[in-house]
Amino acid sequence: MKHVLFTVVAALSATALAQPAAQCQQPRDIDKYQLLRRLSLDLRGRVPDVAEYEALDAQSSVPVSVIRDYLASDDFRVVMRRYHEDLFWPNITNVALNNVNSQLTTGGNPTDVWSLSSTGRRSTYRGVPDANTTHGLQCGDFEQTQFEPGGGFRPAAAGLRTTTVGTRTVTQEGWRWVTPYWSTTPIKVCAYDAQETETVTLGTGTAARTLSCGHYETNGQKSCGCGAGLKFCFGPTANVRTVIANSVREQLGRMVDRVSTGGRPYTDLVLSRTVPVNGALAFWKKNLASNLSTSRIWSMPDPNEPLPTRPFSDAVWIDVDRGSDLHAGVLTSAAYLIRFQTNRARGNRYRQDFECETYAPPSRLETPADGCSATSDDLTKRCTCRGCHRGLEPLASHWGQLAESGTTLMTNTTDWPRMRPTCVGSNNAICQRFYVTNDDADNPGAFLPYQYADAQHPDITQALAGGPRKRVNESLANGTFARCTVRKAWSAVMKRDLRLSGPDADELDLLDTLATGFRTNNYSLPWLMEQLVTQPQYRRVR
Amino acid sequence: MRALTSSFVVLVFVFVFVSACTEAPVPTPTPTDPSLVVTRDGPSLPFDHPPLLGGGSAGGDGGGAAGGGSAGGSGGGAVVAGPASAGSRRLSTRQLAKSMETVLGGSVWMVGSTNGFDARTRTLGEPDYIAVVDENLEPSALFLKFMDDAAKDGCSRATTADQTRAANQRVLYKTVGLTDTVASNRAGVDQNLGYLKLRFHGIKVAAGDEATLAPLRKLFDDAVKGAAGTATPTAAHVREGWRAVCVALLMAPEYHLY
Repeated sequence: MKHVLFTVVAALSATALAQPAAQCQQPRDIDKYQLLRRLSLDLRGRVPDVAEYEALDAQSSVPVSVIRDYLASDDFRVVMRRYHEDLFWPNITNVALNNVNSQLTTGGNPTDVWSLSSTGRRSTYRGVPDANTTHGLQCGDFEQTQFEPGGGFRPAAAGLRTTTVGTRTVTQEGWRWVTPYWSTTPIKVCAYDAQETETVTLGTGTAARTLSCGHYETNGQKSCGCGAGLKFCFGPTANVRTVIANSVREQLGRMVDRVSTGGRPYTDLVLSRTVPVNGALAFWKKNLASNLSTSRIWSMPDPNEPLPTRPFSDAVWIDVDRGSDLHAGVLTSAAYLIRFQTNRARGNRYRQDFECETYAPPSRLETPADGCSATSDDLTKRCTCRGCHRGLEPLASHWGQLAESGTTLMTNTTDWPRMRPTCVGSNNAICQRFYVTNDDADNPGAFLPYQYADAQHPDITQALAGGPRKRVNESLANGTFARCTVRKAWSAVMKRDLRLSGPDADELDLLDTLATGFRTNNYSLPWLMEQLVTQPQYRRVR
Repeated sequence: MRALTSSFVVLVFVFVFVSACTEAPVPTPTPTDPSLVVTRDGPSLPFDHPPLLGGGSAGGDGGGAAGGGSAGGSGGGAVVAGPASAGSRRLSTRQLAKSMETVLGGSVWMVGSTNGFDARTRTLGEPDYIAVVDENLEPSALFLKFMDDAAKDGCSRATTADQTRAANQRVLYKTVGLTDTVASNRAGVDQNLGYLKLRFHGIKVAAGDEATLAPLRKLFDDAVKGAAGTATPTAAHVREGWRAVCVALLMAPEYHLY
């Protein structure tokens, strides 16, 4: 009853409280206290404390030194992270990085014993996908103590248990203790799955290839397990996949930190070759990323990507040169490439974020009478589609050398020839995913991003060669990048767009001035934010 | 029900804050005419709105832009010399979370053992960048319900924490004792209300600004009396008064908009 009374009293009193605040003087200048509140919310993400308000009593307005303190604060760094997360959407926790071939689980095993959840790998190890219901579906509930000589913990035949289930002969190994890379606590793992063989040779003669047991092509090899410390296999989602996904997000955040409070020009955000890497990301790329599914994220390391040996739990972030000029800041980061999985999406997001442009459908449907094709697979020629795709296809091609639904730079033309005739008509998973397999299509057998890299499409050819960096440099050279950055930052702090069109287009000159200043001040983001919050518009509110 | 009632009232006065004004006289509106025009920049003023002192938005059929100094049509806005203005916006969920901690001196809204703004992040409209990529800043009824929860819980914690702090360390009881009432220390209560108005809203209350202080003082007094009944108010009753003021300040548009 007391609470009901309280609510009624509070509500009625609050209504009365609100009345005097609704004033007619709008737009109006705000006083120094409200200005400080606005500055603090925009630059620090919170209201000032009361001591900061009281410090203004002796001031005529908010001193510039206060603004600069805000811009140098850790709060500003956090605010800028959130601002850029709104641009890049870097949450990839819903993305599966692997499949059952590399996923450890306790399902169907004796209590607390881990094994790979793939029926194919179970079958490789034990002759049948599910051993038997008497002794456990995978390995047996006994400790494996006998191993083949030569290291690698390959179960010895003498230590196996062979039983007959119906007409089938089932061979089961036991488990052994392993301390996994994601924990300091040892766990029981089926001995085949826990094998520590490093490499295996596939093929014979000149076709022989030695691959890591962490490579997905070795999944069918009985001698390959999850490696030392289970390094080639994914553990529990919360301990591994989520940690990687959160590290990918943090990596992008750290790239933003460099240009917010780190003193680097804003252009570094979209041009830098270096990227901060922690233990989880280094470990993922070195050990786990190649144990992929051909139908999921293609995360093989880049050809020149450094792969230092670091513990998964190493929380230290170290800047790493990614080894190619095709890398361009966040635009080729794992967060960006996995969140925007197609090259069109990648190009479109760049265009929205840094060129302030969006695609819109044409006002009417075209017909061949307009000089276009009604049926062409080349969308730059097809009626109506071409309205956007004449621009979008070359734009997307800047990301053409990076795997779609993946992160890998596919510049190695031995592994990824730009034309693979054997893929025409093929059902091979790699062909289906990366090559033009339809013999009726344009350029059958072409590496997909290069399907239209021909004399008719010189802009696509040039974009493929230059990568995202080429597009960024064009945006920098023509001023689009600077103007768009100003426009977006303006909208964030002014809570309205710049007035650039229509009858109220009275801020075009201001945009030019701010954009020019941004460029001449070495694309300093703090400089730009200071300019914005010291504009007279910022000190007035409606 | 209690929360929804209170939320509805608050929703109404958020609307009032955005679109209304207290100047009199207001002409009788024509019932068939629309009273609010929403432009790209937000709601413009009602057609029956009196001329603006500072210029800016004009409503009705004139199509004047909201804010920015321009005016048009028959809405009655006056052209303003000088720069256009910035807009206003509701605080984001993150801003609210961090600001509550600041104004309540470290006390926060808790849901179980988790900060309420984290526990209710999706419900409050914060983007997860998977299903939601833009924060919804509408003061919806659901948002207001949770802000009501947040204010009540956070203010309870803040007023409770002050009970055991040294006088010079208290957050909400800056210029009053734990048992001071309007009857026993009106000047101290008024001074404390002004202090809280600055702390929560960044509004400096001038000495003798009765228009600002009176509603807050009445709220405090009513809540203390409501809690005490016919008994002499104790620290617990006074705490209810300051809790009521704290909740009102946290739910006010001056807190949620900037």
